[in-house]
Amino acid sequence: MGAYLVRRLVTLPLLLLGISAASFALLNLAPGDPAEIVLRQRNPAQLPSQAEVSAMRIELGLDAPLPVQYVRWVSQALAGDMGRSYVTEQPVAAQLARRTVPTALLTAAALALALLVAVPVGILSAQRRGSPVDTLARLMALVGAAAPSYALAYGLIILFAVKLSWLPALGYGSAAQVVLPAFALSLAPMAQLMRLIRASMLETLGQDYIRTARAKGLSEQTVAFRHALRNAMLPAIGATGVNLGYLLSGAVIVETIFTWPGLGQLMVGAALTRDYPVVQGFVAYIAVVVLLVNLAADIALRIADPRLRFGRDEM
Amino acid sequence: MPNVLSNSFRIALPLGLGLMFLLAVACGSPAATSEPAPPAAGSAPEATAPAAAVPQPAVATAIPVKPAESSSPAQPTAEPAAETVVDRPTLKAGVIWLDSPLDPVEGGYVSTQSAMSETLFRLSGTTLSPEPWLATEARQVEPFIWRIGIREGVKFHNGNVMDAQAVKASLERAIRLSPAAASTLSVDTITVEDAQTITIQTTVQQPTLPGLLILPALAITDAAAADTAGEGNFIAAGALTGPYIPTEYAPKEHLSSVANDDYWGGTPPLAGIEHIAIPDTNSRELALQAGDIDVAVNVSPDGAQAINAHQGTHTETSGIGTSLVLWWVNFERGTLADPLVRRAVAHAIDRESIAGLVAPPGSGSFAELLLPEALVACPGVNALGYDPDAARDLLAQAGYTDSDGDGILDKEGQPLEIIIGGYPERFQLPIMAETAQAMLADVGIKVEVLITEWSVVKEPAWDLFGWYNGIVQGGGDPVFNISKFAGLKGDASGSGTNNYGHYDASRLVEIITPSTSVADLEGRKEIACEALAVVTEEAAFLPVAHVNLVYGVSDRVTDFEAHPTSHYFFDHRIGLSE
Repeated sequence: MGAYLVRRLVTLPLLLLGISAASFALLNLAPGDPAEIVLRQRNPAQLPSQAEVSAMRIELGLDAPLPVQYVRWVSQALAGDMGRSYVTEQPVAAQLARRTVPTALLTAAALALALLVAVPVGILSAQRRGSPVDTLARLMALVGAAAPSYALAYGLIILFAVKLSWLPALGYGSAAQVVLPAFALSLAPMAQLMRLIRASMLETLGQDYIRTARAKGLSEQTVAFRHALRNAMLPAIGATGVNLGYLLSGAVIVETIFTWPGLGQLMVGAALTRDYPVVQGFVAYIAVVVLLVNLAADIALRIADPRLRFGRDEM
Repeated sequence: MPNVLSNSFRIALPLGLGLMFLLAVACGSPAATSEPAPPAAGSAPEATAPAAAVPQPAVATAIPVKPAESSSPAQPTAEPAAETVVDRPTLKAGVIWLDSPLDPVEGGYVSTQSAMSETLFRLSGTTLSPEPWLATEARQVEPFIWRIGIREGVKFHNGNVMDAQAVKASLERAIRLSPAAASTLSVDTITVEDAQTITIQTTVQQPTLPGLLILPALAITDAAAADTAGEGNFIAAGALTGPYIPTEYAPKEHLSSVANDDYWGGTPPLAGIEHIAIPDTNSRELALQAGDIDVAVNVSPDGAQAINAHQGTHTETSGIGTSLVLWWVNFERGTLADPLVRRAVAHAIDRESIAGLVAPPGSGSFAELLLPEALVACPGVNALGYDPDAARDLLAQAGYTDSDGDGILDKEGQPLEIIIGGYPERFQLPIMAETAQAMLADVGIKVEVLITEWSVVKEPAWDLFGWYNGIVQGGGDPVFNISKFAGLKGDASGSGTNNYGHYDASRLVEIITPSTSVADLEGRKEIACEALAVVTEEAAFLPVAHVNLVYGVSDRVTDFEAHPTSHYFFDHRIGLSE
């Protein structure tokens, strides 16, 4: 485990460097001059002159060659300075830090909801394979996996906020405001986890040791929950880690629709205005989080599964 | 089954509830956000600023102000909100963009939009002409000199009096810090005549100076207080004059304000206005219908239908369409450099039908000419109308035939193909491009649609490029606005940079240049009509629609004026009934 951990930690910086370099290059390949965009935002009534654009490019440091800009960004980022937003002129690190809390809250709520539904329904569906309950669960999972989050989000707002007036359509700051975005965000991972748990549970319930447990006269519930569940949950643990990364970075659309002041909303606004420092900072930040979450999920998996713990890695 | 459920919940419940508990605990802290912001240490410029501290707003507790964090971009007030509660309501408004700085000289149009700052003149909502605001009058006493009367009884939010000296300082600060303000005004000197009068001497003749003074960057600020407060602390300066005082600003999130009970125009009926950035149009429209906001700025035609059908909400539309949807015509790519082809394209596109699609009745109208009739009516100047047969004739004259019978005209082996560009942020532009594609195919022109980043307009990659822009700058001066679209500046110096189509405006320059000495509006309208006749004849631009500003409004909102420009969303009269 120790060697595995060290190896993963050593590769992290290299991965981060690769991701940040790729995103930096892609960002700069996109059409649009940030200097002109900034000037137009500051004064929408008048288009900037070429001299103003040139001066702004120098002010933003965009006059330097791309590799120089990248090296400058990396060295500053290592010192904790991720630059300032071209648009709002505020420090990127502070913006990311402030936006992390709302996104973390939304992610936690969505994950909680996904687990609360997926685990019991997945197990129930496996135990009642072929029954109407199973059919209904699988249908729900199919819909959940297929429904685009934006369509679901608008549907939820129309039903629960506009028609029924039960919940607010947008905003941040109260528990009621979490419900709709969390549900919209949770549906895809909920469906995935449910199908995964069902499939895994079915496979486990067919194992010899389960047959032995049944032969001993144990009740079906004891067999399922004391003997099958731990093994059946292993794929779900890995998937939960992956989903956490998806939820953290994938809340972009949901946050935009629900005006949730998180990282996703920040990213959309920054991308539209070619706010390079914010986009670059966001990509690096999310990359770190996703890599660490996946690492944590791998470690959790190894703790839960002795076969991995004592596998080739430890030799 | 119940056992199965209860057992499975034994697993999921602790996991889920644990996360929910953490969430609830974490959500508890934002609940504190409804508390007034604590005073930020050192933010009050009491010791050093010549300005007094911001007066304590009379009301504030009804406004959901989030606490200012040390690293937060939100700018706290010099003093916390008052602790008394009065029953004036707070209006919530959903706006598209909320990212410009509050300080007007930093391009901060937000403060004028949000009824926090004011300029010397403002655009009339009905005539689009400049009318006195913080000024009382303006008179051109010599060709290069204007005398401007300053309104009495106006105070900045920090309590300082706005007099002629303060206005001079404000304009000089704007000229010093805002290149746009400096180049627009071309000021030589500003002189204080007496406490309520200044004179402005310009370096070039500015016959429409009051119209130029509507520029949001020229909103009158307490220059000394703003400079002393320093960067990032503009709110603490209390340097504006409007009916609402900004209390907290988190760009791209929200902007909170409280009523300025010392406002020269009377006590505002609201406790404050909370602006929320909701960039997604559907979300803005649905938030209004859900009752989460009271005003939704800029709603789509489809959204307007839904809002009007919904109980408790309706739309308000500006009487004049002051935004123009048009196509730039690229004169440098060869195909459309040929005036015959250019005119053929203009005849081949049924722009009036397209206007009906992108700006249906109630949200806009067909733009036969660049400028709306409210600004200038030019009888006798007519656009090249929809006439496919005339288009075919012109293309034949230009030497195009369908030599291979594939339905696409060609000349010297080259098919007649054009690229129509646009950007997706304005829903009108892709619709325009796709509709025109079908119409042009009808006369044998192949069209490639390029919906992309708006700044591609600066690259030579298109023949027509869809564009959406406000056309009422310069106080509604028609000459200024024509020259702006022709790539010139208001002074016809030819140094403008927005001549994206590389249109040779030499004929236009000849017409517009004498306007620098024409002050009366009728004389300027004559010049404008002459110029419009030229750009129309040359098919220099293809205007499609004049788009009105459409707001979604709760029925509870009172005295709302749907101003035709996006300069002023709110004023001191807007209220909210119970």
